[in-house]
Amino acid sequence: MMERKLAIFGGGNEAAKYYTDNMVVNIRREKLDTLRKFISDGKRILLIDSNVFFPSFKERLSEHLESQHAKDDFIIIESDSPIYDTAVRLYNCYEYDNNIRLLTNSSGYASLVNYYLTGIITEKQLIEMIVHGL
Amino acid sequence: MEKKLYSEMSANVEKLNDEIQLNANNLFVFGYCKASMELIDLLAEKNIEIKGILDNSEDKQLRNYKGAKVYYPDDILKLVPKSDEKNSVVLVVSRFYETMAKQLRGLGYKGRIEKIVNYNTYSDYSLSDETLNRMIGREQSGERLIKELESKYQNAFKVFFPFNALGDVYIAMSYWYAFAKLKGIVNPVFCVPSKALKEVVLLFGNFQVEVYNQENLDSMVQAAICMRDDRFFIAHHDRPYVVYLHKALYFKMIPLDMIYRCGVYGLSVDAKPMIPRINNKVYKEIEKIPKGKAVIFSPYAKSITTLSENVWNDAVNYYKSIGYKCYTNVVGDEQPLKNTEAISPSISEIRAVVEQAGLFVGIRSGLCDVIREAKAKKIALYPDYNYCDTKWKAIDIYYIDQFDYNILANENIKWEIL
Repeated sequence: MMERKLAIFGGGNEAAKYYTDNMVVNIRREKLDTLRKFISDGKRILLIDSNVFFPSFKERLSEHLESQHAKDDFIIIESDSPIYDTAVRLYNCYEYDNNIRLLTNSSGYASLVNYYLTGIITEKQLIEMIVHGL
Repeated sequence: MEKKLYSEMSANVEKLNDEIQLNANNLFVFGYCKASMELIDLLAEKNIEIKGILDNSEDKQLRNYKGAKVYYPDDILKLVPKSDEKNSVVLVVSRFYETMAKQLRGLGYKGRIEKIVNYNTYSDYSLSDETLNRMIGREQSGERLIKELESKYQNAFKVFFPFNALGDVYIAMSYWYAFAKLKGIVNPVFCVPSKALKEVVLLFGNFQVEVYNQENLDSMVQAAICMRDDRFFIAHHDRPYVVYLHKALYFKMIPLDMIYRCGVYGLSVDAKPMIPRINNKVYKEIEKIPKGKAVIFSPYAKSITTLSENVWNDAVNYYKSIGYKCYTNVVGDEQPLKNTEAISPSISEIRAVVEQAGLFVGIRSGLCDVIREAKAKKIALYPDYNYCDTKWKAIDIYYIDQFDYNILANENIKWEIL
């Protein structure tokens, strides 16, 4: 199996360095091409609105991916990442495909996160739904 | 399935049948779900036989529908000899066409795969420039409409009801006040795709409501998704589809009411729905309905399978035999049930009409939500099918507490004991 590097883009210096080192993403076309490449490589993209996620979430998600040996399959892009907006636009053309998921409860529509926050589902179930799509 | 989609499905089946004579092929349907059952019913009407239903779910493997057995997708390679692959067709009416097609190709299946219904104009599984430009063009058109809306209703909080579904809007509105209070929303404007839905919104208060055609509303919803403006809300459990609320149903039964309360609005489990105000508008012929001695039948539903004629005939015969006057609620070109009189009250009149009649018997549709608070005996009939591709029955998800009876209508109903 081809070795794949897990990339978690959390914005800030780390993300900026990644982009500077690896690709130019200042223009939208290249951001789009970056995302196209992720998808053609078979990566699954999680768009996560970092404003709404409790601190432990990322940690738990990471642990779960690790335990499932699935880290290499996912690209996690948070809302402060430079390619987040482009990715959100992209997912409008790619809705409900398993390759891209948007997780948020801060914008104007329903969210799986609401189920967690209102106690309908557990954190474990939320993460399993995100990772495995169930 | 909505009538518009059903017509699309019917036209596409017809076209494909003209092109390749479906009966001359090894025919499969992918996905054991309600939409597939409607497709199989339609094929049966045309005397077109299918060889099987493909589904990935282990739970569905022992089932069959109208003689068609459920198989795992990879079984298709065993069921269709390699030499006959060219004469094999998989029909898809599920929303997961792309995933299904990809899976079949991945298995090495080389026959035809046909998408029979296009459910979602928001989705196009292509990253081509052409697709992106088209989607962006639609989004820009939606932005223009939203700007027009903003200039008419300055500083308003924009709420979109993306589908023409009475029940969804009724439930969404019943939790609106709790949500507005939680978020501090004071000046909402509701955008709906039909006049009937405007009436549903107005049952809950004197709100600002705008009616758009479906295409314009779709583009506004698309724009709302892209703009990520915190002054809008898409009040639906399945739009945009990426919210995946339905995924939770794979391991837990969540009634529709709770899907809206907790999943859509994020309200607490014990949040209470608002009861709509009593409407002053009176159906012009209400006095002609014998008070407490009439039945309002509602046999039509936009998005679910119909019940057999026998169920309705038995009900009409029974209630006539005990002296009830029987009416059928009809809209547009719908026909009244045999031996009943057509009646067409508006959304704001129907509750009073049901209260005057004293009895309501209807297939579970959005109309049942609209009259759920009516002071009358109310019976909801449910076709026996699973909600989407979950293991839950429609009756589990759509059950209405305020109804006297919620009945699975797959066997003889003893009307005399209800």
